Amino acid sequence: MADSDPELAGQIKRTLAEESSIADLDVDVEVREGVVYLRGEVDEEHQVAQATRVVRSVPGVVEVRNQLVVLPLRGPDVQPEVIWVRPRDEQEREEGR
Amino acid sequence: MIRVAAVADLHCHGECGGRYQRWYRDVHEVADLLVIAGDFTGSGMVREAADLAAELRDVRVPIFGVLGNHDWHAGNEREIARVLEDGGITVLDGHVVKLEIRGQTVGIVGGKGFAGGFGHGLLTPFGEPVIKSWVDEAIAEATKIEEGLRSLRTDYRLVVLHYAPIAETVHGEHPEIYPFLGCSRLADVVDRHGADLVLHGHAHKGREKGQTATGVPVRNVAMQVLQRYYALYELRSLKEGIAAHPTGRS
Repeated sequence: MADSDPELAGQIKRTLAEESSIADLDVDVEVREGVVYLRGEVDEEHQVAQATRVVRSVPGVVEVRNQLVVLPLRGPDVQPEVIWVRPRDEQEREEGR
Repeated sequence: MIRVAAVADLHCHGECGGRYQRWYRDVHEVADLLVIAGDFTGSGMVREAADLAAELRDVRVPIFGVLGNHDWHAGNEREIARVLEDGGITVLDGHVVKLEIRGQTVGIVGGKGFAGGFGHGLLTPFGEPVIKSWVDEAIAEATKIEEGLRSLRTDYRLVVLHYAPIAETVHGEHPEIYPFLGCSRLADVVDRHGADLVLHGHAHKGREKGQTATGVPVRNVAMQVLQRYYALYELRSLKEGIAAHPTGRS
């Protein structure tokens, strides 16, 4: 590990945080001899490519090994969650309205 | 009975390739309305909102939403709201909407909400002006919801927020950022005036289900939490349940 690796990792995290399309993501950044390893889960495919582009632009980065994973989204549940609601007049009587 | 499809944090970055159209085009088969609880856009750009609105134009149920912090990010919040409204999406910011569905009425109150922490960790208006401004913003957002709820006398009452009103649906996030994910002032007004379901987003690593102190169901519908295109909730009056099963047997 090069002496400059922790500093570079910090700069990469700051740069990722400033990029609004990926700022909210929980990306783990590791730097070894200038090679950057990105790990974690993202919501969409384009965020994987965007993270690589952003990290590559940071001075001192030798290579980006992007190991981010896109979480698969499923279709909607067939069965909805039923929420039982007390009749309004009953609620208002109890609340003294 | 009212069927609600709900999602948040779509974070559209433009050029969606028909993704949202595919996800929501059949929602009318299972829901009476679609709620989008904030963060329509990824970067707060107007073109992102326009692209999303275009993809949702053919959805065959009414769409109601609130803006989120991403929609505010670039200072285009008014224009984004206008573009969404032009696309047929009702953007709520303290507004109250009343609908009649199959003879029953549903009222929807919505607003972005704000941050400030929960319970004992709630930020109070003490110290520097910027702290007081922060708290003022949270109080103003909570007041919008309170005024809306005060006027609602519908069979069902739905509250839509972007920020979380309770800590329970934020659990899973790093505890250090809880105060930035929501504010219990929002839950306080719900508990004061009553509601049947509160929907929010913003906390991507939170959990879906929680409830306020008085037992009002709260659901975090961030897509990253749901891991599906939307959640479905069926609000049913207990009268319906009693009528269907008068002996108490199911």
